[in-house]
Amino acid sequence: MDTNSPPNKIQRLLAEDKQVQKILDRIKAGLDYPEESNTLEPAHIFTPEQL
Amino acid sequence: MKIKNNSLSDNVSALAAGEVNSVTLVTQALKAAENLTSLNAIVSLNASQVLAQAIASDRRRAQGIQLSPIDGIPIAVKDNFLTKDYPTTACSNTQPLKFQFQDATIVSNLRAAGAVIFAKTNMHEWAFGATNSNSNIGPTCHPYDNTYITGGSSGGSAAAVSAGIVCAALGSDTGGSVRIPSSACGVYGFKPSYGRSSRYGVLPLSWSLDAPGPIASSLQDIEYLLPYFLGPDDRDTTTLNSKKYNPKSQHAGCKLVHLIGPGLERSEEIDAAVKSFLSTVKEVREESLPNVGRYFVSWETILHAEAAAYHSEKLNTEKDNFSDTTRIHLTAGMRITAVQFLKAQRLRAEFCKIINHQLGEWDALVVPTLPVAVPKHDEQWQVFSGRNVSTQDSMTWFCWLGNLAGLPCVSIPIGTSSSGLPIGVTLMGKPGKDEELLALAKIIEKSRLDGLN
Repeated sequence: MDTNSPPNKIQRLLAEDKQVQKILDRIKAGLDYPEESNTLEPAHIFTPEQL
Repeated sequence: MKIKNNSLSDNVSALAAGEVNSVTLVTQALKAAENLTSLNAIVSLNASQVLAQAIASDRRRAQGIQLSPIDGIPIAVKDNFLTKDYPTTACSNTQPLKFQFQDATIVSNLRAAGAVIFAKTNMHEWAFGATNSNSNIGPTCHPYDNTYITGGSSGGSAAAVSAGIVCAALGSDTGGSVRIPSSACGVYGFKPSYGRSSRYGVLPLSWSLDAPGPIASSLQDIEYLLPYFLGPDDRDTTTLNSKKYNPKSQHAGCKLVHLIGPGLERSEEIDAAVKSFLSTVKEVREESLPNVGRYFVSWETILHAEAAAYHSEKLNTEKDNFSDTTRIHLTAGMRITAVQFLKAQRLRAEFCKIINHQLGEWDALVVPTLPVAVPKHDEQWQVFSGRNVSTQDSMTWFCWLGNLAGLPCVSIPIGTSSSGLPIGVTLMGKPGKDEELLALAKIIEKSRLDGLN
């Protein structure tokens, strides 16, 4: 099957987009948590020496 | 398949005693590579070029000149390390690199020590995956049984060592890529602390997680190789505070923290193997880690964002040259927001604090390297401890912990599964204390092997 013929390419791109979205959904769910905005502790971002 | 033991330490001794020369070692390696093409472990190999290096080494030795103990030893190199005499493809169909045909710092260190840069090894495309199933030359096959995967992304290097083609090989580790295939193939893999081994000339997957490390068939062999990995390199600023390798003959303590609990599950068979291994260690404490899933996502976010940043130009100009899987992951990385990346960094800092607290005065953290027995090529999912996990995620299940916190890690073979394939355990030491970790691993292994005899 030629996956680059126009109808197949659209199908392929849609299928890929679903996979991409799945990864992004997992990331979003893992990073969004309520207690974060309540902390008084300043954010520690890595210093140049550490990275 | 019968596995031939090929020990770097034995080869060093045999060379020093004049019992063997480099040409013989290289000829044996060439024959083994030819006989074991079914493994698909080798990407490129130039016999005449390799023999020329061996002849030069033997000439030096005949003149009483020995550049180092490893002068004349053939060593294989993962195909994401730049090498001046071989192309570097990262096992991808993307356009050839403009800056290849020069040596990565670690390759250059080994070459200066007289090592024979033997071949380039198969890897998961751009190191973005841990099965070694996704490579432009096809999957790497397990030396014990070709129907099983080697794990990755340094699968070709681990398979080449395990099968006895070479006694040592180079790998790079962003979420376990040295330790995963080492464990699966029954050999030893060492991931240095982040910032102790130079990444110069190693094609990146994720700048703040990558650590190049050695794969070999014993801890003693790893010890021979570490001096060429550890130390400062002007061309990688993260290593400027790195100390040169300074061996520790003794280790003061032997206290291990076994990480267990939610998010750190493993199959019953693996759990039994780890418990048997730990039964030879006097002081073991069991601890769980909070919010493992959230910290895993921190690692996953940083990995995807940094990989996408590195490949962003290629994604614009030649995205169809990537395999489907790699393109999907890179596209996801391009859509991660700056806010998400910063949240992930914040979680990373929190995680480092927790890990340091868990270690405290104890010597190392311990986990199985893999939560399941080595999978077959056609297994897409792994079921263990009530979980259904993709084979890809099961490979990095424990290993990402060491990368997110930048810890030195070593994977050690400890037994075999019911399928007859190797099981490994990972020890994780304190950041920067690579020599201490190796000394500790040697003590534990000696006591375990003494107990078995």
